[in-house]
Amino acid sequence: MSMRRKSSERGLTLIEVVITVGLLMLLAGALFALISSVLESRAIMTERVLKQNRLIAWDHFLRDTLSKLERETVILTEDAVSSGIANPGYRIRFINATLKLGPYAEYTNESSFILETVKGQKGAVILQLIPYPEENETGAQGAIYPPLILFDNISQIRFEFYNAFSDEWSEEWLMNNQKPHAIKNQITLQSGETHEMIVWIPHA
Amino acid sequence: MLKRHSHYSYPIRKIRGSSLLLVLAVMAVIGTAMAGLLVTINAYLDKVQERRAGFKAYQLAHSGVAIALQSGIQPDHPLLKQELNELESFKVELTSENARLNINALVLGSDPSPLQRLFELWGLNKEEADILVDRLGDWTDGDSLKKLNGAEELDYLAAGRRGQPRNAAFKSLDEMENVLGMGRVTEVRPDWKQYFTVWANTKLNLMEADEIVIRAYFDITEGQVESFTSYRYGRDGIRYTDDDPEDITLDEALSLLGVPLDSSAEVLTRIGIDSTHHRIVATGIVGTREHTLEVIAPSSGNVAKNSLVWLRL
Repeated sequence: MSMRRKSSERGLTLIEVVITVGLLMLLAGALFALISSVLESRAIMTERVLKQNRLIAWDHFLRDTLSKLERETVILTEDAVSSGIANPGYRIRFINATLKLGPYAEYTNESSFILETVKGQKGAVILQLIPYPEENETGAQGAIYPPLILFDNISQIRFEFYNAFSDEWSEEWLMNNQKPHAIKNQITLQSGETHEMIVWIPHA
Repeated sequence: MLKRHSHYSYPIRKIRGSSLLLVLAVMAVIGTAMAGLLVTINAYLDKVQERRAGFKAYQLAHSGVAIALQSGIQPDHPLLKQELNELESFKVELTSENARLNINALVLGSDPSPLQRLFELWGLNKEEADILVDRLGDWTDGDSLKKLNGAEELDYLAAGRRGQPRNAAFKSLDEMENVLGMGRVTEVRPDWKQYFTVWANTKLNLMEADEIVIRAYFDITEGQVESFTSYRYGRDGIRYTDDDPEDITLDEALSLLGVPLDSSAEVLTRIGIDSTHHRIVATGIVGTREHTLEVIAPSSGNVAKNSLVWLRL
């Protein structure tokens, strides 16, 4: 009887402890894996949504701005490389082209802007917008706004310009007496994703 | 003693077992919640992916419109059909809006007979066609005088419709559906909207018009129309191919149709062989996702942004 009593008061056996700890570790591991997947999925989701929103904004910016160009607007490319893939330093200058987009309301009074590619981090190309006022009569320029970064994770960006008269696309547009009839833009992000759009430029 | 032993020892064992069970239960609950969250996030990711495909398709459709808006672009231009990669492409159908009958010109003009004949060719009897033509006239004319077979405000009120007819030209083809009796046309010709326009000018483009429209327009036989339509697109019957005849003049077209040149002067002012407006139907495709844009645009010269009529966005 005293033996039984002793047996009931003893602690857990080594096997019981090992099994329990093992089971808990297994469950903790599974839980950790699950939490990691949730966090990873959440990060992917956030990145995708952000990327999507940027692309939508870029699409609206280009389409809205180009469709509202003035009759006297001049579009000129600078430093385009022969392959058409814009390296840092590539610029498209829009002269007499007013920015009219809502989110860029602060630039509304500026009548010219530049789309420019500059070198970013880890080999990426940054596409930025520089609104600037026209030169005044004395030739001096007014205050220049800080560049507005449109994309900071581009691996390649290409612009092509369509001349409806010759039915040809070219990588440079150097005719300051006429606008192109359409602009094709292709952006490849560092994630490998490529977006292409053709934007119509009205001439009437 | 045995009884006493069991009385004191069971609760201790029970408590030990319960704590383990509690831990397991909590972990199970957390695990289930996490799994649920993962499933929800994955579902949302799929939705984001789907939305992105939809946006890309929209962007591609816009690219198609941008090409189609260029002056001088013909429906067979290779730029109107592009494959960017295995998954992404766009295609544009460019048709003449002048191949359709301008309904306002017909019902407000002095000779609505082509409309009447068209309804009859579609299967309406003469009486039904007469009634419908008069009702279309009453809808568009500015007065409240009822035509012989027409319908004015009282008739629409009797049908339970207030504020009709509009007594103004049709602003859209959908508006035509409101005219009393148009349901009969829908019965016999569900795609009747494809034959009308309110956007192009009044000149019917004989080079693009459907055979049945040309028949109704000139009141000629099927054989007469065929002799023209088999000639206008060459032997293969497809436009913009190598065997198309050189530019056909309006006189030649009328001669092929067997229409005397001295026929009704008004009819002759309402036909032509070119277009003032195009209908652009651009479809962007990304995998299984498609987005279609439809726009009416002037077909010649420089197109102004405000001259576009977006029918589908």
